[in-house]
Amino acid sequence: MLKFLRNERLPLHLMLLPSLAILAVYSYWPMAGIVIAFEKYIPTKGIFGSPWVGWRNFEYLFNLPDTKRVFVNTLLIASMKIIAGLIVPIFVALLLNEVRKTMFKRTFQTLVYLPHFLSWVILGGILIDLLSPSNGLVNQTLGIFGVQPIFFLGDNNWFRFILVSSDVWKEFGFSTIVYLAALTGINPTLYEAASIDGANRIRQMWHVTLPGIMPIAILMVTLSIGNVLNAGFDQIFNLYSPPVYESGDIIDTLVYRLGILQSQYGLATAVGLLKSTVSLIMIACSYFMAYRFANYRIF
Amino acid sequence: MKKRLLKMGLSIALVSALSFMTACGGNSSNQPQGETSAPTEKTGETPTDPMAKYDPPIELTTIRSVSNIKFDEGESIDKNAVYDAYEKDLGIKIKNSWVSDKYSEKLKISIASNNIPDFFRVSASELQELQEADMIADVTDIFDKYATPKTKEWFNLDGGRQLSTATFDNRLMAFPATDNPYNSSSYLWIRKDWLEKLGLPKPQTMQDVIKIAEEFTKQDPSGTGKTYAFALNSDYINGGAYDLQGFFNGYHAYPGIWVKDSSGKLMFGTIMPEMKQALKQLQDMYKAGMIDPEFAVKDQDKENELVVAGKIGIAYGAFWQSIWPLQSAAVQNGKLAQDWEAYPIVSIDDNPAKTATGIGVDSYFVVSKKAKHPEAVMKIINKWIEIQTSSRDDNKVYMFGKSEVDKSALLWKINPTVFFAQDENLPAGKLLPKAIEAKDPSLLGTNPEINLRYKRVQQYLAGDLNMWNEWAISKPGGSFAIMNQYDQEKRYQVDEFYGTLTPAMLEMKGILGEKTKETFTKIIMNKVSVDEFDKFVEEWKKLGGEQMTKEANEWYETVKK
Repeated sequence: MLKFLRNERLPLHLMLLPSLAILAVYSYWPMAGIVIAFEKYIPTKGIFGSPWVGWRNFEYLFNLPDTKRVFVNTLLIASMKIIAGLIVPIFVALLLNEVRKTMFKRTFQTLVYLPHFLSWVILGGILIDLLSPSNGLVNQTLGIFGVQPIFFLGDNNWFRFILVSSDVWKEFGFSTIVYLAALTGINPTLYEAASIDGANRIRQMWHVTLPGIMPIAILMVTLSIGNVLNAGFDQIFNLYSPPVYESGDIIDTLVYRLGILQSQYGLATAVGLLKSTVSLIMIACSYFMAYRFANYRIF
Repeated sequence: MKKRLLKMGLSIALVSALSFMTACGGNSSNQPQGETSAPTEKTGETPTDPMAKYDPPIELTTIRSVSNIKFDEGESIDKNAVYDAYEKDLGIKIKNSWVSDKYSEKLKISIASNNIPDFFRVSASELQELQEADMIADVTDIFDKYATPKTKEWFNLDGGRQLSTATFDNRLMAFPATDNPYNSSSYLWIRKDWLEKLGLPKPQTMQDVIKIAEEFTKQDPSGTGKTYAFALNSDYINGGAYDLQGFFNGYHAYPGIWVKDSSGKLMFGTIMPEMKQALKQLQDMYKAGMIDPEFAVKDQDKENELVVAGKIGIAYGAFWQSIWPLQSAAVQNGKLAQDWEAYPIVSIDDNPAKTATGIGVDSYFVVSKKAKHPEAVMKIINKWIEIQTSSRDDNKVYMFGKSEVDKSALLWKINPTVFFAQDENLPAGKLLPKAIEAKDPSLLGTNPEINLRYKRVQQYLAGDLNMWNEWAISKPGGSFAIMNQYDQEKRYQVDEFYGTLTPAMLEMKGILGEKTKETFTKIIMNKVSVDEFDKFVEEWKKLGGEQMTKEANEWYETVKK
C-alpha cells in the first residue's frame, strides 16, 4: 500500500477521480431507483415513502394475458433485426470494397448513411403513406402487375417483415462504414500472396477479406446481443395499430401503454429491471462464447 | 347593479387598506404558507366579497396547452389581453409555468417531480392520483365562502352530479370543468345531396341506414371510383367525430358507459350482448368492401381526406361534427361542395334508439396544496361564470381579446379556466330554430352564446360560407334541434356511474380498454370470427372487469338510498 502511495504514477491515478465521481453520480447512484420496481410508487411520497409491494409488479406483469405474446414478439423481431443487420452491411461492404471508382464509392456510402439521421417519427409518416393499400406508391406499382392491394401495416403476416426491412434500410449504412473501416486494416500483402497462389476475386474475398473483418463482426454481434430485448420502440410505436398488436406489440410499447400512460411507474421500472437483467446475462454469455470460439477479447 | 358596484368599490377600498397594512409587514415570497393567505380572509367579521380585487396584485401559476387559437398580433399565451384583464379586474397575475401541446405527458412529469403550479387542469385519473398523493388542496370551504351565488347555481344545475365526481369522503377536491352531458350525444350525419341524387328517403330505421350505405357504395354518387359506407377512425368507440357510438346505440348497446341491467344492477355497456350483433353487421359490411380497410391506423384528420374527396357519405358523430372535421369537406374552393345534414340516430327495432352520454365532465381544475392564494382560483372561476351569464360589454375582452370583436379566433380559450353550462345547448335547440324561422332575434332571450350563434347563422344566410358549420348546428332540424328532440323524447342514456373512480377502475381501465379496442377492431376487420366476442367478455371479466363491476355496484348501493 505504502509502496503504491509512493508510486510516482499516483497523481495520474488521482486524475481519474473526477470521472469516477461523475460515473458514480450519474450511473451508479440512479441505480438505487431500482427499488421502485418493488413498490407501488407514488411520486410525491418518494422512493422511501411509497408502500412496498415486493414482487407484485412482476406478478402483475406475468399475469397479463398479453405478456407471452409480447415477449415472443420482442425476441423474434430483435433477433431478426440482429441477423439481418449483420448480413446486409457485410455484404454491401464487400461489394463496395470491389468498386474501383472512388467517386462512386463515396457517393454511395453517403447516400446509404443518410437515413440513419432521420427520426422514426418522420419515417413512420412516410412509410404509412408509401405502404397505404388505397393510394400508396408500393401498392399502385404492384397493381400494375395485377396484384391485389396488400395492407402491409395492418396485416400480421407482413408487419414484422416491414419492421425488419425498414430498420435494416435505415441503419445498414452506419454498420457498412464500420466494416469498410475494418477492411482498410487488412494487410495488402495478403491479397498479393493469395493472387500469386492463384486465388481469384471470389476466393480472395472468402479467404482473406472475410477472416480479416471477422473480429469486428463478432464485436458487433456481441454488442447487439445485449439489445435482444430492445426491438425498437420508436419504430414500432410510429407504425403499429391494434390489428397488428398480435405480431408487432413488444415489451416497450406495452409498458408505454400500461406503465407510462396509466402512471404505473412501479410496473414500468419492474419491466426495465427485468430487461436489464436479461440483457446482462445475454451479453455475458455472448462474450464468453466469443472468447471461447473466436478467441476474441474486448477487455 | 348600482348597489353591487358600490359594494364592490367599498370592499376594494377595504381590502386595499388592509393589504397595505399587511404589505408593511413585509411581503417576501418565502413566508410560510397561510400567513400570506388572502387579505380578505383576515377581515374575519366582515362578509367576504368573492370578487374583491387583490392590491397589490398577486401571482398565480398555471400550465397550458394551446390549440386552434389565432392570437392577435404581438400576443401569445404568456402575454395577452385576457391575462391582462384578469390582472386589471381581479389583481391576479397569471403566469404560465410551461406551455406544451403534449400537456398530459408533461403534466405527468411535473407531478412525478412534485413541481406543480398553483392551479391546473387534470383528467379524472390524474385527479385521483393527486388526491392520493395529498398534493392538492381541499376546496370545500373555498367553494362555500368564495363562490358567488351564480357560481353555486352554475355548479349545481344538474343536482350536484358533476360535483360529486370530484368529491372524496364528502370533501370537494377539485372544480369539475362543467359541461353539458348532452354534448356527447351522437348524431347521424348524411350527405343530403347524395340522398336526393339517388332518390333515397330520410333514414328512419337502422335498416334504412344500411340500405343507404349499400346504395352509396354501389352507385358511387360522386364518381370517385370507390365509396365507403361510414367515416371511421381508430378511436371509433368513443371518438366524438367519425366514430360508431351512435351506430352501437342503434342496437341498444352502450360501450364505455355504465347502464342498469334487468336486475337493477350496474353493468358495463361494452360487454352487453347487443354489441355482438352490431359488430356482426360491421363485419359483414367490411367483408363487402364497404368499410375503409385502413380506418384502424387513421385519425379523424386522416380519415377526413376520404370525406373531402367525396368517397364517404355517412358519418356518425357529435353535434359539433360540422365544425370539425366536416366544414373542410362541405365547403371547398369557396363553394358548398357537400351538403351534410344531421339526423337523429335510428334503431334496429321498435324501441327508439337512445343516445349514450357521459356525466359531462372529463377534466377538473385542481389547486395545489402549496398555493398561497387558493381562493384566487375561485375568483377566476367566478369571473368566467359572470362573463357567461351576463352580456355586459366590459367583459368582451375575455371572449374576443383586445379588439373586443368576434373574429372566430377562439380567443376565449385563453382564459385559464373554462366552464360550460350543464344545460347549455338544450335551450339553444329550442330557441334558435324558432328565431331563425321567424327571423326574430327577440325570441332568443339574453344568453350571449345563443345570440352569438344567431348572428353567425345570419352571416351564413348572407353568404359567408365559413359559417356553414353553425348553420348545420342551429338551423331548424339541425343538430341542436335534434338534441332538444332527444331530450323531449327521453332518449338520453346517461352514464349511471358518477362517483370518483374506484381502485379497480384506475388499475384496469387502461388494459381493458386496450383489449376492447383490439378485439373489436379485429372482429370488424374480419380477422377473427364474431364469436370471439363471447371469449372477450369472459376474459374482460377475468382481467378485472368483474372486480370493477363489483366496486361500481357497491358505490351504486350508497347513492340509491
